[in-house]
Amino acid sequence: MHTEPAISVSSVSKRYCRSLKKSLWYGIRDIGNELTGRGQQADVLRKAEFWALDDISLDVGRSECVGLVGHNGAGKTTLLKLINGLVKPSSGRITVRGSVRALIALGAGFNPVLTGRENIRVASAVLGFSEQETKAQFEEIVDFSELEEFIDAPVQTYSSGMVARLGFAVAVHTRPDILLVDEVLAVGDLRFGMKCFQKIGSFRSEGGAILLVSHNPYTIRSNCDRVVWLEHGKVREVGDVNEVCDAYELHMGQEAAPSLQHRYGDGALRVSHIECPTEIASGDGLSIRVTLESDRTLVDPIIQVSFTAPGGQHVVVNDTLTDGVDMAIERGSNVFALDYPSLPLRPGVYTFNVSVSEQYMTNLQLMDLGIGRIEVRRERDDHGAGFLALAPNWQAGVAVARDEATR
Amino acid sequence: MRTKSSWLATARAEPSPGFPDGREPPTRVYTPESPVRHPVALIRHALRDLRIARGLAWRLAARDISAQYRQTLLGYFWTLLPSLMITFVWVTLERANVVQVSTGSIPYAVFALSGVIFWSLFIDSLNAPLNQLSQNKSMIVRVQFPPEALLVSGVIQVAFSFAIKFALLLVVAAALSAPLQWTAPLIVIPTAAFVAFGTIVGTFLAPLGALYKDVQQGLTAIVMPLMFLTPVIYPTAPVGIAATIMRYNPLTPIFELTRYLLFGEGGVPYTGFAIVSGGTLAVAAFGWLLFRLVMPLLIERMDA
Repeated sequence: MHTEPAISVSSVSKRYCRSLKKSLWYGIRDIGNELTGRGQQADVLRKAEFWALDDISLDVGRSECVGLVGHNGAGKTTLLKLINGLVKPSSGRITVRGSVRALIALGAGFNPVLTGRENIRVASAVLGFSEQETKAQFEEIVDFSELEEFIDAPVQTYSSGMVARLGFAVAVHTRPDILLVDEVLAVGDLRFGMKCFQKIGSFRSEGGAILLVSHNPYTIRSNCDRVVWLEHGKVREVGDVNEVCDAYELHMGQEAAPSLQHRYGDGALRVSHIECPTEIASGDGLSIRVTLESDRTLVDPIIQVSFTAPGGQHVVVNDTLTDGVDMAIERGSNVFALDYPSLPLRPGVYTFNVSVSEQYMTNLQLMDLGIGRIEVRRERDDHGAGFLALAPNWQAGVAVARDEATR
Repeated sequence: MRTKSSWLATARAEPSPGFPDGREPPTRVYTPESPVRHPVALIRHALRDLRIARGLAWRLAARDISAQYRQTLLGYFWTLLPSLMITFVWVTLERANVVQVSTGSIPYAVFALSGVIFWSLFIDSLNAPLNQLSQNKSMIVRVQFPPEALLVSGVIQVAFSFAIKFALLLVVAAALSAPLQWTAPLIVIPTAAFVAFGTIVGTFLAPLGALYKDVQQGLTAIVMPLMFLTPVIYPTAPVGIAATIMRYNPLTPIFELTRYLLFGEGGVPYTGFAIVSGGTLAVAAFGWLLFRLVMPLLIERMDA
């Protein structure tokens, strides 16, 4: 019985250097320390260094999937590298029980001139598989990657999605105990992405441990039990997936602060004021009033209002062209209003954009863009996935007509 | 525990304790401590990795060799061309009496070609560790694998291209009726010495070279001058400064042994060869362990 966690990270810190010249010189000194047995133990920073990770502790158990969120440069990738044993910690201790595969930059080590078949053999050898083991798994790898017809073509003729598919297939078929997944599943098409997640799910149900880095909150919410939120190399929050994701998304929304400062186009038109509640309850109606200052009368203007989720997905998009509305914008101040009778968004922070474009010949020219923010309050314990909070009527035990059932 | 539905929920099952097949998980611990403090574990891990590295090294070497020639029309001919060119130039100069070289019973073309081929064996071995590091950079910084595989793969590739060149040497030697000796098969001894000496020096230089490009530049710069101070295209100089340098040049005894075993010319440089090969063996293990130890430190600087 192995009740110990698959990954134990305790009080781990890692320092990195910002200056290349210094970094190389420190590298030589570190090598000296390593060879003389002094090691890399460090609790102070040298000049131009910073803590890429600062006192991180974290456990990942078997059959557990832990999410890692945070801004670029928060230390997520560094943490994965340390757990993978590629670089040494500056202090602290990492214990890894089981073999690790990092799904990072899939296809690293593939030679573009060689065929998919040859590259599978090399890649699985690099991951520690013997030739017999590779042979036994070969068909399965090719099947999973869905590259049968291309397997004898050089990898340089593959699309980047195909390379990632092959890389993923090799990595997961070398029977790891621990997977480190770094935003790779965004590669490839949607269907293959789902297939990868299913594979990861079954890997997990067989006792595998997963550490998953993603910028997509829905990926995290639908796969992880616990989430660690890293900020500037420190753990900002850790805990239940929904609690941490809620806090993280709220924080991300606040960072994307409302702004009327960004100026687009030639400045002939400005979005000067947006009047909109900063907070609504899910399903409430919403009224927006926008003031535009224009130096001239616009020919065929198009106004677009869109709502964006924290992951960047456009959730609601409306524009005057599609909705068949003629909106004249004349010289001087123009005010227009827009009413949503009901906006059933899931709780969270959304960004909304008001853009004005002008049709110029066959092109659309962006004149200006105003950005606002709106928080959809959590009225009840709604932690569902997806963007819309709809309440369908579910019905069980519906009788099926005979001819329909056999269809 | 999650209770919310998601489209992945179907793929989940109750956590199973331990490993599905009940095997003991390989446990690895990473700390800032230097492995030098635990020499027994260090050597045990190194030997374990060396076993794994062997199979991988052959794969990597096969990959590099086939990739190298796949995009060429003339294929292996490119392995031979540089040696042939240099030999041609020197044979022409010698014919024109620009240089006068006394090579005894060995036809000069065979003398020069053999020198150039063994010289390139040494230089290829010297460059191999650093070349392997830089060519496999993208893999090294992302996948954990025994770094020994890179060194062994380098040796295999060097040996492969040497085998092609050596076959050419035998053909040329037979064509020009050079006095090939019955001791010729013993040539594996100096061949191994060239590879070992070059690879070990290269292994010591590789970590530094991975950080500073100066090493690569320096290696390129010294190849030519060093060749002229080694009995490659002419025998050991009898007098002068060149003679002194050549006498202390560690490559000299290996070249002399090579020539003696192949053509029976000169003598056996017992002392010199013993010193060079003994020294190489003595530091070989140290170079290998150094390469292992510094790898994590290089990785964090390499992708910076």
